Amino acid sequence: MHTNPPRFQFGELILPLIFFIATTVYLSDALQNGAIFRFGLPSAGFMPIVLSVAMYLALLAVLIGQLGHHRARNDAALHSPKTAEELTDLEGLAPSLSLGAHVAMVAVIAISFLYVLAFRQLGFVLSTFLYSLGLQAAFQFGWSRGVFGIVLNLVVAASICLIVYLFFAVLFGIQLPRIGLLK
Amino acid sequence: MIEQFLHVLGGFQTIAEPAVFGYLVGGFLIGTIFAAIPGLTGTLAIALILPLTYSMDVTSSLVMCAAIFMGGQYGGSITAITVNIPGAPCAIMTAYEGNILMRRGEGAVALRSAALASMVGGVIGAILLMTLAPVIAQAALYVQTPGKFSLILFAFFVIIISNERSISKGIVATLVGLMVATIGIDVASSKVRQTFGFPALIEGIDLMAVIIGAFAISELFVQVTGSSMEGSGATNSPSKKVKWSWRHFLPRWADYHMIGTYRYFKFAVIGYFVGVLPGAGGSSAAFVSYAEAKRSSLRPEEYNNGSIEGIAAAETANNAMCGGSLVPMLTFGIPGDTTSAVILGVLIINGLQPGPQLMTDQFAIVTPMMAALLVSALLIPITLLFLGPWYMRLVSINKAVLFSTIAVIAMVGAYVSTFSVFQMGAALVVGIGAYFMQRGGYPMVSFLLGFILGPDLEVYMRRSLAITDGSPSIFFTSPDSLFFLGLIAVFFYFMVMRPWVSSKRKRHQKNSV
Repeated sequence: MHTNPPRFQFGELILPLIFFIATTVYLSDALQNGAIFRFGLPSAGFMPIVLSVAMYLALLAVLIGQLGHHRARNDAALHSPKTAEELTDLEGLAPSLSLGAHVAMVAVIAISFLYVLAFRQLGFVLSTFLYSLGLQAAFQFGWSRGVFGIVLNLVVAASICLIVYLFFAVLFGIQLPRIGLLK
Repeated sequence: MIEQFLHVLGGFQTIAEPAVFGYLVGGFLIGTIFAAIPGLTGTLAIALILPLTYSMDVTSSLVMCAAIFMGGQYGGSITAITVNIPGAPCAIMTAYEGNILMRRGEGAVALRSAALASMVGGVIGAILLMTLAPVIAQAALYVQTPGKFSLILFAFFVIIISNERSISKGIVATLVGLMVATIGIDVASSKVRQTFGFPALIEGIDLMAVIIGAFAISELFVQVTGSSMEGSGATNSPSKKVKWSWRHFLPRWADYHMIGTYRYFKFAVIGYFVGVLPGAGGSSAAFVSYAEAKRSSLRPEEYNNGSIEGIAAAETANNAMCGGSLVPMLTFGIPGDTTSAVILGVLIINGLQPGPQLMTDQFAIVTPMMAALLVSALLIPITLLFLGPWYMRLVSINKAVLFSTIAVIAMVGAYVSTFSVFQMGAALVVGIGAYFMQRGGYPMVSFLLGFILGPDLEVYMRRSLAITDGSPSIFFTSPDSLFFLGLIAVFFYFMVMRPWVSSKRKRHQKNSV
């Protein structure tokens, strides 16, 4: 039976590429810090430049390693698909995500950013209540329970809000933002 | 010598007073709870309690601080084991090994071992503090700037080679941590750098935001992507099927025997001496001890797969560090880590001047604090008996409820550490990055070590080079630096060269057969 060789996984090529781009941006900013040595001694720009060069070399080593692993996995896949899976596991790469997982992930990132933006504007209570509701929706909490599920979501969100408020504001007297829009 | 011994006994007598003992127990519980909650630390607990010390007598203040310190070092292991989120940075290695055991249904064993190791480490650290403090403080002075640079290099080296899956990915993760640490104001020249044109980055990325992002927020993404594949429900663990009682958390002789007196003592001594070095802290103690345990282990195959010995090494060392880090603080006013820096503030607020005189003329004032360290270490397994079943229930809480609560506490925790919404956003960005790095097999431990020790590495390097007008020869001529570089060579031989040669030899023998 013919087996298709496994494709490159997310961590194998895209991550090193992202690191490469980020390092280039980092290095270009480091080069604007002025002279690397001042009076014969390393200046503020020295360390970032050393780190950038080290990162390029390390990324090269990662890529060579990835290509070697990919080749080994392809060879293993021709003999036994299970061995190929074991090799993926040994490299520490996570299995691919389903579409639903991607949607949940993007939703959590979006609501978390909205929470950061709304934290001062809406105040702790309202923003945290809405954030908790959003997170529960992302976890599909109580979705199969109809109206009871909705009530449960509201109660849990309010409880989380209350617990966190009691902990930070009441127990330790930390001042949390109040409703900024209504001030 | 006899006078010193009598002062120590007097310290125990002082903490036996009901009011002082109440402060000790209260402080221990506060420290444990703070460290167990991701985003909060024992340091933060002492900092928050600092204003209260104005209205307390100096002995009670110091006793409470010591108990928070010990509880804070231990508490991080609870959520590290149960939900894979280290409450404190020093519990990272514990999370690494402990959560695997938790998912295997052996969470009680992991918690029990962590508590036992924390107790042993805490007790040995406190005894060493009481007996060796003045001598050790003198010896630590010999580790000068080039030696501190090489010590940090050594810490990086051991943690990178500990990642057997891919050393190059370990290096990349460390470099990412080092790069993030350079954002903001240059620690040596106070010049603004690496802000990419965003004024908000001038304040840099706060340690709290990085820890919260790397562990709490990224775990939220792991759970939410997992739940959409498995469906929502309680955290997936066989642990929830067992009815937990205090008996499961009662320390067994077999637990102790498995590690052995010699190894416990070795881990504690490592933790103590790392603590004595100013700036090293509990994380370095745990990392170095873990690496040494792995190098010299009779069961190396258990590492990265739920090793009790790995948990014991990290927990013994980070609790022994408590005693060590107080040595330079009490003797020279140089704090060993951030928590002892805050305790230094308590001493100064109460009109005490740390220095050789404090350890001679006013030794009786600090002995209750030393005794409190020892007694609060003994409290660790006792509190586990009562609270252990509750810790285990953390995993039977509905996943949506548990992680929504953790996410909110983490995000608000990132805010309260600096009262900056920017740091909340930074924690989120770090969390997203950490999630993808973990998926790609890049170790978070290396990233965090790079971030925490990066500024120190740079400062020590630049200061060393300033001594020799830019010549790196100082790292090879300074005896303290040579000592740590020698250790790197030893570790390289035992952890990289020897396994590589033996695997090559085995492969050769297999082929010839």
